[in-house]
Amino acid sequence: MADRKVLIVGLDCATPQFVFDKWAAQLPTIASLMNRGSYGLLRSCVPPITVPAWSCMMSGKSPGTLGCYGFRNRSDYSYEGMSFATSRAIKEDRVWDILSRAGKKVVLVGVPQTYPPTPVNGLMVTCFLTPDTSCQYTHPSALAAEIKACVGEYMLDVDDFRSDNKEQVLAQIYEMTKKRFGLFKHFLQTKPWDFAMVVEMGIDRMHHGFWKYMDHEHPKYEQGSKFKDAILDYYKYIDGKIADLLTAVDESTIVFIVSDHGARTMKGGFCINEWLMREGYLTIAEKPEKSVPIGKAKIDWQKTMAWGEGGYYSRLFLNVKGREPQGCIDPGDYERVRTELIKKLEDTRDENGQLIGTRVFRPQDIYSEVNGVPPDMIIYFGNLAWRSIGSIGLGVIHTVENDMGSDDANHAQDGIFIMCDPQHLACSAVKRDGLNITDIAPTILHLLGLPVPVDMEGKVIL
Amino acid sequence: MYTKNTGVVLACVTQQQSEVAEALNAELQKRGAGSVCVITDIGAEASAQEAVQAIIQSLEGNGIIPAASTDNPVYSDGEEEKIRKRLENLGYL
Repeated sequence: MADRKVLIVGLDCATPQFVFDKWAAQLPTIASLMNRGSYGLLRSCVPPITVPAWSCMMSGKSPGTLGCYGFRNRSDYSYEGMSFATSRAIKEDRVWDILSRAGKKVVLVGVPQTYPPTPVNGLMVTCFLTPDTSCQYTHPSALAAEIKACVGEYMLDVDDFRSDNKEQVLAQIYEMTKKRFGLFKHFLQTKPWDFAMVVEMGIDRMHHGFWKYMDHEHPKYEQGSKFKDAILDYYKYIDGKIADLLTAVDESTIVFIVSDHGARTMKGGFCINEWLMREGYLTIAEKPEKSVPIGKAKIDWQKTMAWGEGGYYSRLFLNVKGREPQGCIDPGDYERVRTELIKKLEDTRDENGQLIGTRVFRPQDIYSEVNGVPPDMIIYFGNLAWRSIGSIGLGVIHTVENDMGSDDANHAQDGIFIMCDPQHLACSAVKRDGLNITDIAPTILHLLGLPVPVDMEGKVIL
Repeated sequence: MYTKNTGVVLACVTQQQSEVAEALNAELQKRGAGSVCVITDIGAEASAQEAVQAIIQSLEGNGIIPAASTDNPVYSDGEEEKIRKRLENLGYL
């Protein structure tokens, strides 16, 4: 297997119900890879969020082992100490670290949690956690000039995503994708590589920005919108881009199409801190005049037992004596309070009093290791049909808007997995079950002829 | 070349050097010393600073030297605010 290569096309948020079912017939390149190889649902980590999911995929380890539970993590047990999960937050090897040490050449473009760039045996273009391209966003640094010559001003992400000018948002997403795929193809054709990976963020941005125009079930569905096919059209565009990439690889290359999580319609927002206040777990010292983020609200910490973070899922923290600066839960009462809250959260309801199916996870129950400063609970409101609203001062428990403006879709637990080995073509599509996001890293190493570290939590997909 | 009882690092620039390093690594593995042999292909286009960074990372990655403290912040205050705003806009926070 020494002469094999692995190509990974990562599509952030690409969702199985579209790729495998609803639009399969309109995505000929992806369908062809499925039909000649194997495919299946790829179970993401908890939480199924870009950070930490791509790092879980590339390290073969869970968020607990990585000590990374979201884009921002508590750096200590203070109330303010949140730090961004950059590349430095990942202390475990990702596949490119192992491959580089083994002398394999790597090409990496846009893989989340790669900023600031780290030395690899090959090249790296960092992700949307890079402030802008005036920062060092490549390894080696001299690569930036080549990128500019190749695609002009490289786009790390879409600016002003919340703009009401949807045409402009759409145009930016297409431009970002065109440049990213163009650059990646250039590298495939001009650089030596054994392992090449690109992660495109456009599908995620499309889902969050355009879902309501497509989905009749969405609470804010707009009938007859000119954007009703925007997401389908973009998937077709991506399919064409993948077809173009495949012209740059030969039969020694095993191709993967993967996503870090899926997507689903968003029914609304659940205001976690408003709910905690109503239930008597959180007390504010001063009522804000308008809605403010939890970090800017004046909390009476001595009378507060719990607070939560907003996002596509929620993290809930308990205020424990001897752990937090003004903790009020006796450590002996910790599990009792946690269990009580889990029971109440699992009983949360919509504005009509209907149960929404909220799921609550204790980190210690779902991870083999729990490193860093974990949340005390991870919450999927309505099993991710509802996002978590962290702001205080809204005065309601349920909203139809995100606290940052409209948002059409939430994440779903399952992403996509497609693998096609031109040297071992299947007669027809092989559907696989039981795939986990941590299986990808050991599979890559195995295919490239390297031993799989024993501490990787995933298994080799054979 | 860096040598120590616990490791060998070859800082390779050319393809030929990489091939020599790989052959040497294979030979050391045969003799049971593979786990302490490190090959760092730094690439001809790397600056001196990047070459040093690559070698240091290899040494750290193989446990030959302890990882350096990375206490210096990744973002300036302005950059951190920019990232926070971007992530809020994208719905992640």
